[in-house]
Amino acid sequence: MEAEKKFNFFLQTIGTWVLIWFFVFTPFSIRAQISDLVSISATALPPPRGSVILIPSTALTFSGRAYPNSRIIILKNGQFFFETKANSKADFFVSLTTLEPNNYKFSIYGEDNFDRISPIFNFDLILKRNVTTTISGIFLPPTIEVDKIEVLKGEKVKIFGQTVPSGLVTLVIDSVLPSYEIMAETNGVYQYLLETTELNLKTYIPVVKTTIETTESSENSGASFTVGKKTQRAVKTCESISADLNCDGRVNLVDFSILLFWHKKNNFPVRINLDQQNGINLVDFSIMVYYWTG
Amino acid sequence: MKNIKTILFIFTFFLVSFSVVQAAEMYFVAPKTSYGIGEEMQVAFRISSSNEKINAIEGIVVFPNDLIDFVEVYDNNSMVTAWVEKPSLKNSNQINFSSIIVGGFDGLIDPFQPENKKAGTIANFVFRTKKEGTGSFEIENGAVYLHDGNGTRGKLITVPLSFIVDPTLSSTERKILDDRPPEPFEILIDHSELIFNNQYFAVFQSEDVDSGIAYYKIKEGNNGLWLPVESPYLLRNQKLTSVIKIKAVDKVGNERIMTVSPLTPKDLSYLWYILIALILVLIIHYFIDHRQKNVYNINVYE
Repeated sequence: MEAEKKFNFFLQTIGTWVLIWFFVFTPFSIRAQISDLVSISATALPPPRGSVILIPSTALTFSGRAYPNSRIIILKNGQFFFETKANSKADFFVSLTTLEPNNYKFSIYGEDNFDRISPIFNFDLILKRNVTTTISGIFLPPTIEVDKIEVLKGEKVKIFGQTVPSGLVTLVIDSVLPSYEIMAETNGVYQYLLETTELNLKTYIPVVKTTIETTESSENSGASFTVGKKTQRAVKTCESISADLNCDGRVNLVDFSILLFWHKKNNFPVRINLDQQNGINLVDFSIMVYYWTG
Repeated sequence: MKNIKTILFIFTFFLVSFSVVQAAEMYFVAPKTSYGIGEEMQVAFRISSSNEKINAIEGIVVFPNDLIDFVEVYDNNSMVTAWVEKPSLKNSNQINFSSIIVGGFDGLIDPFQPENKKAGTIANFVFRTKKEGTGSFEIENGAVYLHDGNGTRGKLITVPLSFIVDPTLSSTERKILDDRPPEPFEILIDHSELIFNNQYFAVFQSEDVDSGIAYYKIKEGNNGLWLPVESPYLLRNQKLTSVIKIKAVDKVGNERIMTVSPLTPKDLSYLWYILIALILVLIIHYFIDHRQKNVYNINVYE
């Protein structure tokens, strides 16, 4: 009887220690989807043990696909924070370990080999002490450009850009028209010469996305062209992005500062008034923020 | 008839519910609702927008200045990217603000509960109670704009917060712990025909995790004075030959100084003038000397 009691006490003690070990000293991890493609996981690290002093780590990693050897830019709260490069297969991985626990806005985008930028992915994250947060499965959509802003009906317009090597690009010109599929080259470059004979006289905004096996990227629709009565080549000018006030190809704190200078003032330059209405107010700032590249 | 009324009621209920769900919500959060006299009152000013991304917000926070005094505003954990109008006291009972949110905002992701996005803090206000009574914080002229590139105004619900100042309650104080300087930041120098007549200006923005940025100062040149500054700042030395230092100071007094080296080398053309002048002096000296020698020779000859 006494022996059985001792044995039970022994089992309870062991069980308690196992539980403590499991809950306190084992990293706790959780994983969930935050969109169709992108998933987030968090791993809480065990607290430091014994007399060894560990520096509390707050880590954040991003991984995904962009364009072969492309620049990957990360903004923190709207300002440039980190840059890395995708490999030749267009895969990228970023690990940030110098952050303090706080709430942050991270923006991530790619710049392809021809200086075209992807749409920007944004994440408002709560970073916690001793927690490694992982954002994976980012699949930047193809970049897109057109060679003409207006094309004479019957002529061809070239739609081109870059994506992952050998990715299958789906191009939609109009929701009522059939889509086109283009296989990207091994360097990710794709192009399509679109016949305009059957198109109506109007403006079209092409939409592209990439498929690799069963994984689809999100969509991109950065360029437009008009089928009309003349042909006009697309030329990049300062006014291509209206919010780029200082014409440096970026929309960032400098452009914000220029707009801020004219906020609620009269006699502002016409170009500053992004909505072309009612002076310089928060509507103009809202438009500028939409095009923000950092 | 009764059926029609019931259907109408259900239809209206769903319509109202749907519009409420679609709207962003601006509201206040405080750790308690009753305060003693002379007590510090901390109020978090928050926004949630789970259905639509918003990228610009503005409004006026109104408070009863007969009951409380405005003390301070903290934006250290704000989801705001930059202030168009930093929260500041107007007319002794209003705090006006407007700001942008880069990338838009539809909730904070907690990595352990990513499916439930959380509200973001716009700013934290600190007030001090001064008189017994009941009052409330309210929001006037609140507006949100959608992240759609068109500046479309979004739907917004504002929720006031009531509080009681009771002299029978004891007051508590809090202390900000901040021993870290503001984060390193970039100083951008640029010029544009759209501002300052195409002259060079500096733009900058730092962040401080613990207490927020209080102010900035600038020093142009190594021997200049530290002067209060706001971004954008028209540089005094338009030749860009002097070092530019900008100091960000947080609410506790911790500092971070960032430096931009002279963008153009100092103008050393005056050295050429000195050299030419020296050569001229030497030449004149030579001729005078030579002439004197000639005169001497003539004399000797005579």
